[in-house]
Parts: sequence; structure tokens; C-alpha cells
Amino acid sequence: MAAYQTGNQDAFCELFDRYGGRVHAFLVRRLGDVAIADELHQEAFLRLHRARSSYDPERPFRAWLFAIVHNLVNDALRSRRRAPAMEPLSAVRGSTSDAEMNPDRGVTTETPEAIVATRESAYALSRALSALSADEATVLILARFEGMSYDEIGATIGRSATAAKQLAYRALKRVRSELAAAGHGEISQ
Amino acid sequence: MMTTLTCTQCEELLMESLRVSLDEPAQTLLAQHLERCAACAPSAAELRATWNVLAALPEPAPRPAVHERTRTAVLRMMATERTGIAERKWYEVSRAPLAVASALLVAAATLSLLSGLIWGSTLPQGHLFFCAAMYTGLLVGAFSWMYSATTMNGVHLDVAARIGVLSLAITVAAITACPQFQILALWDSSVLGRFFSARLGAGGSSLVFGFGYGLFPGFLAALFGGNLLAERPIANSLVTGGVVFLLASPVIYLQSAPFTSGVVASWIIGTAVGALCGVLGAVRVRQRVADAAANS
Repeated sequence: MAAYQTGNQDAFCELFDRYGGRVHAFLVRRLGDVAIADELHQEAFLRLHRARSSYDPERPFRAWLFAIVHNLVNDALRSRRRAPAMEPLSAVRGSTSDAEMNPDRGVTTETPEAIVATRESAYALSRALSALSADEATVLILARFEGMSYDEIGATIGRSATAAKQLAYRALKRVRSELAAAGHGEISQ
Repeated sequence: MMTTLTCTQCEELLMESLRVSLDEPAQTLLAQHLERCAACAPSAAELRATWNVLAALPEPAPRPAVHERTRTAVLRMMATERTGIAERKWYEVSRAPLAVASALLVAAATLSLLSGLIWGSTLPQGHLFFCAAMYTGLLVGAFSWMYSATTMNGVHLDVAARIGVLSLAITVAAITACPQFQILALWDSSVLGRFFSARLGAGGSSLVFGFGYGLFPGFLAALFGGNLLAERPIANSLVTGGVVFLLASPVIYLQSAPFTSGVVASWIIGTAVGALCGVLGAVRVRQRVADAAANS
């Protein structure tokens, strides 16, 4: 990061290779929409670039990066609030193939029933996540998928580690009740 | 060392245990609590299951084209910046230090004016409140410009300045239209007003209200307003005009008051510096608009 701050392009490329995919994955899970995530992916790194001089090396980099992404998502959702409501990720069922979602997965050997079941689960989960508040969704995604500590997560959303844990707890409970309300209670049994 | 857990502590420990393996003592504490707590035990099992089932969400990798587009956009911006640095004019190079210096000058001018007016003057309280509130708004504005010009990290405190200036303009209009209207009298008769008057005197109390009045709407806007106006050059220009107008207002408004050379000097410096802050802000906004257009 120090080299990147001085304008070193190779340093940026290394940083981007390391975090570009993570940021995209976060955006898709958080927004539930691949097209919007694609759009915001570029904006996230442009924001990071503009903000690079304000990065404090004492702070954990991931927390700083995801704070930028978290704020970007909030801004985007706020500006889209007047637009028609977004459907969650898997709402456009079939529009995003598994191979697109994860090119490494390649040709699947799963049965059609298993694929449908997986898609149904992903759809239900995506809907449940979209029902969470901004902070709850970010905390849960970062804890579950990015493996970040609650100290880091707290720094990301500007709260304490304890508050982050409480948010994660509430978020998980809410996901569970959303799943149950949508008739997918069996998923989390 | 804790010997038992409350339910809240149990929830926190449970969330931690989902992420990483707990150490032995923590694990024991959690297990003991779950064994004897009828509320937490079933909830913990359900939450563990929900946590595990989240894995069903797909692992979305960006398409190579998306990945490449982002990389190219940033690299292009870096290249543009390098070219820009080589071709920078003197006023662009000195923009940030100028913004800092101008903000500090406004602060100095404000303090000199406030100290002269608030504690040394016999002017009515409404006048004092007006000056305190107005210059507080200008302070917020000046430091916002400074912050934006030096960090440019996407946090637009200048929105705070705009809202602050707007609220102050309303005050100016109200007091000018109706000189008998003493908003400070309402403050003085309130619980908070009496509290501050008792401790800080009438001058200190009006200063507290002025600061609150100038700062509160501005920071509220900064917290919740986002960057709605940040890239609107017209709005920015209007604010610049508003700042200059407000800086000129004391002379119009306090024309019957005795002027000291310090007050006049503060006004002149403040007007010049306020205008400079506005121009610097406008330059910054224009640059951001150009960057956004280049990267879109």
C-alpha cells in the first residue's frame, strides 16, 4: 500500500489482484445484483484510489478498504431508492449461470434437482440478506465470508467490536426468521 | 476471569465461536451457559445452522472483462495524474496549502471578531447571536473546504457548510425583516438557556446557542446528506456567493454600532478569505466533475 500511495502502478496491480475478487464477491452478496456489483466494482477502486493519500498504515487495510466499499454501497442504495426496487441476486433466476458465478467450477456434475435446490437456497438466502439493515448485512458478510475479526469489522462500519458482534447476532437471527417466513425454514435446520 | 456468562456475553461469544475456535476456558464458559440457559441453547443451535447454511450463497467471481475494466480505469487515472503533476500550474500545486492557510485565517478573523463583540460589546444579544452563529457557519465552511482540498476521500463536509450557510441566511433574513424578533430570548427562557446563562453568563450562553445553531444542521447534513450536492458546480457557486454576502452583512447590519479597526479588518480579511475558499472549492469540484467524465 505504501508503494501504491506513491503512485507505483505495479503495487496497485498487486493490491488489485489480491482484493479485486474479494470486493466483487462482497458487492454481489451485499447488493444481490451482479450487474450493479459490476458497475460499483470500478467505482469502489476509483474511490480507493482517490482516497489513498488518507490511508493510515496503522489501520488494518482490509477494514479501510471495506469501509470505502460499505459507504459506496450505502450511497448507491440511497440514490437508487427512488428507482424501482431491486430484485435480489437470484431473482433473475437462470440469468447467471454457475459457471459465470464461479468460472473455476467449470462443467457441473450435479443432478438437475440438486442444481435447482442449490439455486432455491441461494435465492432464499439472497432475499433474506436483502432484508437486513446496511450495517447488519455488511457485518454478517464480512464475518462469514471474509473471515475478518470483529475488531476489523467494527473499524469498517465505525463501531466497536462488541457492537459488531451484536449486529452479527441480530443479523443471523433475522436471516433465520426471514428464511422461516419465506417457507425455507428447513434450510437452516 | 469470568466464571459465568450473561446471555448478552453468550451471544457475543457464540458469534466469535462461529468465526474461529475459542480457547479452552471460553469454550467451557459457553458450553456451561448453553447447558443451563433454556433461552440461549436452542437459539445457539439454530444460529449455528443458519451460519453454516450461508455457505449456500454462491462465490461470485467477477467476469474477466469487469476485472480488467476496473484495473484499466484506475491505471488510466494514475497515468492522467502523472501527466497532470508534470503540467500543474503554480496555483494548482499550492491549492491545498492555500486552503489550509485560508481556513486558519478565517479562524483567526472569527476569533478576533467574536472576542471583541461577544464579551466587550454592549450590543443587544440578538446582534451577538447573529454574529456568533454566522461566523460559526463560516468556520465550518472554511474547515470543510480545507478538509476536502487536502484529503478528497469522498466525505463531503462541504455539504455541511452549505446547509449551515443556508440556515444562517434564513436567520439573517428573519432578523432583518423583523428586528424585534429576538430568537435568543426564546433560548434564554429555555431550560438549557438558563443552565448556560447561570454558568457562562449571557455572552457565553448566546455563544453556545450560536455554535449549536451553526453546527448542528451542518453536521446532521454531513452525516445523512451524503454527497448529493458535491458535484453541482451551480450549487457550489451559489454557496460561494452566499458566503461573501454573509461576510458583508455585519457591515450592513451593524452600521449603527461603533466600529473598531479590528472589526473592520476582520471583515475585510474574512470577505477575502471566504471568497478564496469558495473559489478553491469550485476548482476542486470542477476537477472532480472532469475526473468523473474521464472515467465514465
